[in-house]
Amino acid sequence: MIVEDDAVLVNALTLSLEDEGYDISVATDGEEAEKMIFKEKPDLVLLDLLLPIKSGFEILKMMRENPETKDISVVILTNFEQETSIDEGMRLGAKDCIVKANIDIKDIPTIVKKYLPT
Amino acid sequence: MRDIGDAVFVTDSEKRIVLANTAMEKLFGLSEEEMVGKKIKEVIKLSYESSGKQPNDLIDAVFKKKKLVRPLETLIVRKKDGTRISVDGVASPIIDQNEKMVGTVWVLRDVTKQRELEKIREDFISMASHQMRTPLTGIKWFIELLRGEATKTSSKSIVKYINSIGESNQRLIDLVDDLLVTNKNGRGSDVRNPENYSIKKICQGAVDLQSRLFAEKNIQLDGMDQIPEKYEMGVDKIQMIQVFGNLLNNAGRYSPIGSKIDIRLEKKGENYLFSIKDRGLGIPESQKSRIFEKFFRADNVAENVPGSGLGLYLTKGIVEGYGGKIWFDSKEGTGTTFFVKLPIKQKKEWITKRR
Repeated sequence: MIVEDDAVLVNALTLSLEDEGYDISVATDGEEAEKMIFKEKPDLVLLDLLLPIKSGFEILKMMRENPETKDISVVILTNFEQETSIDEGMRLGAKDCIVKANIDIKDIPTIVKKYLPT
Repeated sequence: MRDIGDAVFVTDSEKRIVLANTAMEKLFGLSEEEMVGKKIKEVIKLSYESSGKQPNDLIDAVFKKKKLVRPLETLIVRKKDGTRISVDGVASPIIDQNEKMVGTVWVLRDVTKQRELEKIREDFISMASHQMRTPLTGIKWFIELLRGEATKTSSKSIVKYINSIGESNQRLIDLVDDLLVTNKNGRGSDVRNPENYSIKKICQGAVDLQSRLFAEKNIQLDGMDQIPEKYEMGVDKIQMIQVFGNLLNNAGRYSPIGSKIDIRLEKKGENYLFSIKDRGLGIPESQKSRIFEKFFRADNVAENVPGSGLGLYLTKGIVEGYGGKIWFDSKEGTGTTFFVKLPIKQKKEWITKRR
C-alpha cells in the first residue's frame, strides 16, 4: 500500500510496482490511509510523513497501538529527512527511512522486495 | 561600565557576584543589591538552548582553566517573570600581577531578536527546500521511466536529451540538499555521529559518487591504492564523504577530458594531510581570497561549468568543525591542489562545539 499525497509520485510508484506484479492500493491523506490500513491489512506500507489531515507519524503510532496492525511492515518514504524525524520513525518500528529525492525509481521494487514479509 | 549596553557582572574568585551593571539588572529582572554577594548559580538561571542543561562547563572552565571562554551555543535566560531571552556572551578571568586569579568578568548580550530572525530564515529555507523536493522527485522518477522506454524505442539523440534534462534536474536536487545542509550548519549543531572509520573507505565512498563524472570525462584517479587501510578517524561518515566528494567533484568538473587527478594521504605529526590535485582550469589570482565564500564562483568557471558556489563553503565549514584546516595551491591554466589537514585525535569539545 502506498500512502502519498503527491499524485505524480503516486503515479511513478504505482507504475514501477505494477510491472512487478504487486497488488497495490493508494491512500492520499492520513485519514484515508488509516481507514484503508485497518480494512485491507496490507503486507507492506510505503508511508510518506507529511500528509494532509494526519501525519505519517500519527498513522504509524496508531498502527503500533492496535494488535491487528502492529506487525505490518512500514517503510517511510519522505523528503523531510531531519534526523529527529528519522529517529522517531525508526523508534516507532519502521523498517527503513528513505529520502525520496535520493533514490531512483528503479530502486523501489528492490526496497519493497527487501521489506515484504515472506 | 554601568551604562554600557551589554549586561556585565564581575565575581570574586569564590564565584560570588561583586558588581552588576544596569543592563544586567534589566536582563535578569533583579536589582544589583539582590545579586551582589550571591553565587553565580543562585542568581543566573542560564541554560543551553538545545539541551536545556545548565552551562556548568562554562563556569568550571573559566574558574579552573583560567581562560577566556565562550558558551558553545546560545544560552537562554529565564527572567523572574518567566520570559525567555537568548544571550551570547563571554567570561574572562581577572588575573593580578602575581598571575593569581582574583575574579571573573562576564559579558552577556541579548540576541533574542537576532535569534528570532535567524529562526524565521531557517524555517523558511527548510520549508521551501522540502517543498521543492517533491516535484523534483517526480521529475527525477519520470525522467528515469522515460529514459527506460526511450532506450528501447527512440533514437539516440532523444535519449541524450532526456539525459540532459535528468542532469539538470539532479543539479537542482543537489542544490536543494546543499541549501538544507547549509541551513543546518548555520544552526550550530553538527559533527553528528562521530565514529571510527577507515579513511580509505571514506575516500572510496567519495570516489564512487564521482565514478560517472570521471568515466564520462575519462579522468584517471591516481593514489587510492597508496592510502593505508589501517588509517582511521573519528568522524561522521556522511560529512567526510561530503568533504572529499566535493573536492573530487570540483577537481573532476574543472579538469580537461582525459586528465589525471591525484589523491594523497599522509600522517604528519598529530594530523592527517590530504591533497587532491587536478590539472584543470585553476583559480584566478585575483579571486583566490574569495573562493570559500558562500555562493562565490570564480569568473573562469561561472559561465561554462555549472555549480552552486556552496560546495567549498560547506566543505570548509565541516573541516573546521573538526578542528582542521583547508587551503589550496592554484595556478590558472595549470591546475589546483586542495589540502585538507585533520587532527587524528578528535578533541571532545570539537564534537559538541559547532557554530
